[in-house]
Amino acid sequence: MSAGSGETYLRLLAEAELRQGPVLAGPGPHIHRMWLAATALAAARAVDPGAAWQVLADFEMAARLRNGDARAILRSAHPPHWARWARPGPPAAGGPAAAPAAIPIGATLPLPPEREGWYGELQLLCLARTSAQAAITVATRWVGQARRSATPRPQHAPFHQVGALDDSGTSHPGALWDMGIEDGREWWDCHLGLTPALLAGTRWLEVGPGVGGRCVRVDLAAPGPPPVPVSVRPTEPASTAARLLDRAGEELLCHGPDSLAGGLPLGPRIALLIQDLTRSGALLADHPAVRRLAALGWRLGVDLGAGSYRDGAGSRAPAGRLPAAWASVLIDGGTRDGPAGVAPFAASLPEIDGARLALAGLRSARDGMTLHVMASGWAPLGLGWLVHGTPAGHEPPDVSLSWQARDSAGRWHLVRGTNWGSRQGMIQMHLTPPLHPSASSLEVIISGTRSEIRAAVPLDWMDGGPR
Amino acid sequence: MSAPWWAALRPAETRISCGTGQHVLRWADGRLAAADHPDAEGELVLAALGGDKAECVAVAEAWGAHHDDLDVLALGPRSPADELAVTWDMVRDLRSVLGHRMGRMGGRAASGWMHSGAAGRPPVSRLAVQRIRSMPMRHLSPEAERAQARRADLLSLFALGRDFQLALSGEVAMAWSAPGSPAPGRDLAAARPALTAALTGRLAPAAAGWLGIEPGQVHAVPHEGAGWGRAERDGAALRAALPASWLARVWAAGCPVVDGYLIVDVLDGAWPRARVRGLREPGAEPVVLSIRHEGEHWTVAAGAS
Repeated sequence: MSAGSGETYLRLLAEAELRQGPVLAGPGPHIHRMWLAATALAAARAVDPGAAWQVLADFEMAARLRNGDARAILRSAHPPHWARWARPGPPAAGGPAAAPAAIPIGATLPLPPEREGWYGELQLLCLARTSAQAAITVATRWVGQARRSATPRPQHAPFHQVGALDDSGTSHPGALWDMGIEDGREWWDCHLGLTPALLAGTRWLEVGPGVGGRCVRVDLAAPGPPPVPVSVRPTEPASTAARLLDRAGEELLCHGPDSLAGGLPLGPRIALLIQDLTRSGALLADHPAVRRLAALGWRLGVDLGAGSYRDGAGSRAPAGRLPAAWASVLIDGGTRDGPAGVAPFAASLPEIDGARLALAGLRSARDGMTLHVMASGWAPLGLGWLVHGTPAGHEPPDVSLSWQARDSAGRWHLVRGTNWGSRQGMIQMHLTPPLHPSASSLEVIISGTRSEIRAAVPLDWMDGGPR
Repeated sequence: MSAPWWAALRPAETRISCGTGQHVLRWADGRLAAADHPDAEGELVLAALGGDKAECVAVAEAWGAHHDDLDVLALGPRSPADELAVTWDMVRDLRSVLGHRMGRMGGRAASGWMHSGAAGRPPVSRLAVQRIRSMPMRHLSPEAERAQARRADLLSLFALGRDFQLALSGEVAMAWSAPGSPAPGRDLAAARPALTAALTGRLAPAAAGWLGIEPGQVHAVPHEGAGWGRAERDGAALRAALPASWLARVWAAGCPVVDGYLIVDVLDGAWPRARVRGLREPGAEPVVLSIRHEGEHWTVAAGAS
């Protein structure tokens, strides 16, 4: 790819779009064609993010100058923070990422009654910490109602305030983070951020108070469970553009080709993504990443415009081979047979691409699972960008790390979505399809640009096993 | 010696509100003049020392500041059918917003529009207040403030009218067409994507009509060597390499296609007459034509040689 070819492609695309007289809907999920292309090429590092933003700003202003929308002139001069990055991804920190550590807790804190007598519980999975941050991963739910009442279960998560007290007498007020919207779900996966962070040498914590002033004691000095087997091996370097297409394939598998994003089904959006990456020169049209995505499209019956239907009516499968994970999810994607339970495993992982990570337990449900991670030096920026659209200011995806998992029964799992953004660097990864009912361990696979980490975590369920 | 780049461009003239009157701004022979301000440079010096800046002088200053601004090509018109809906009301509204911000910051606009006069910083009408309230008013960095002020400046130049838009586009194209090494501060390699788009975006509608093809089938790149460049068919597509100066000498003059010829250069002349080189068809050698501007169009006045 020659220097400037990505920007040239974007600018020529803008010319073609301008000739169509675009009507821009404004910021929000209803993105326009140029947003998709600019963020795709910025994510693939086929164009400098600042240049991508400049093309976008010029395009939007040019379009609105033709229909007299003055407001856009101010908006388009205000670049989002990602446009100032030297490359997609968080600004480089001032030093090596702090290594997070996690220890399992595996205890339940019953909560006192709240609204209309409804009482809940916090299932405490793990304590995850760095020298500067600390959090307890939590699964919480409403358990029952203390008095007879016809009021339905609250739609929100339990509000009861808890914190921690350490062996030196220091209090660490807790803030439950990411309780989600009031959607009446059965479980909320979140974390309890503790402030201040724990000092080195802290021997124990008491987390509470729960019902009747009860607390859960977390012994930090006690010998932990056997370490989780972790392996690191080098991998063939893959271009960022190829990794972006692989991520698109995973989103296609997780959400289906008809899921709408920005008013356009995911299948056609991915077809545009392939078009942008190949026509800009970021990827060759017959690159293996293109071919395997085309093969996936063929399997799903979606024309991705990348050769999957080149022989007419999809009569012949394209040449690309599906990765094992994709083939597995194609088979098991619709299953709803996951065990219901909480597994409080903990694993601190070696550095990968400058990131330090710790696994801090998971909650499994019939239709999927939530994996808790503490990350330092990495965040799942823009994950879900292809599915949810890219409103103005949202960053393009950072595909420097990709995550997959395989359970001991041989079923593969992909990341369907994430919650993240707290000060503690906690991430909740929602994986699909659910665990196999007979799975006893889960191998979490994190692929970087040059290496891969595999951590086989045990699925030792709290409270006597899965339900 | 070839003709100056503006040889075929129509002189432009407009009146703008300046102080308490209506003043004439004129563009001809490659330069903008504020006819009612014979010592515009002196007025600029006075303004820099804290005096008021007349609108005419501010516009002339903005013109100079944008004479090599590639945003002019990214935002400006592409074809006769491509009209910008930029009005002085819009410019005044933007200035009111930005003036409010600058005032709030206790700063002073770097780009020259914070000046006196009816078109400079007028009393804000109720309608303008409503418009302003609908605009995004978040706190911006000084850098973003300057970028917005620069855009407001550019819009004031577009508001001068179509002939001025074309003239400014021509000046920008010529600034990036200087033979030999580029001027200090101009990175030709970094500008190439913008110049490629500017060429393609302007050649496409003209050449599509010339050949009866879709505009999307027209591909142009900057020609940086000797000669006028090339234009050849590639199946259904047209592939052309033209110097960026084509935008100034030919496109800005409104004569990219004249009576079935793709005009590739202006040899000499003075508006409304010019001697040009034109292609009868892709791949052909250019021929010399005399063309004349009549009504709103150019026509071939004398045959090919």
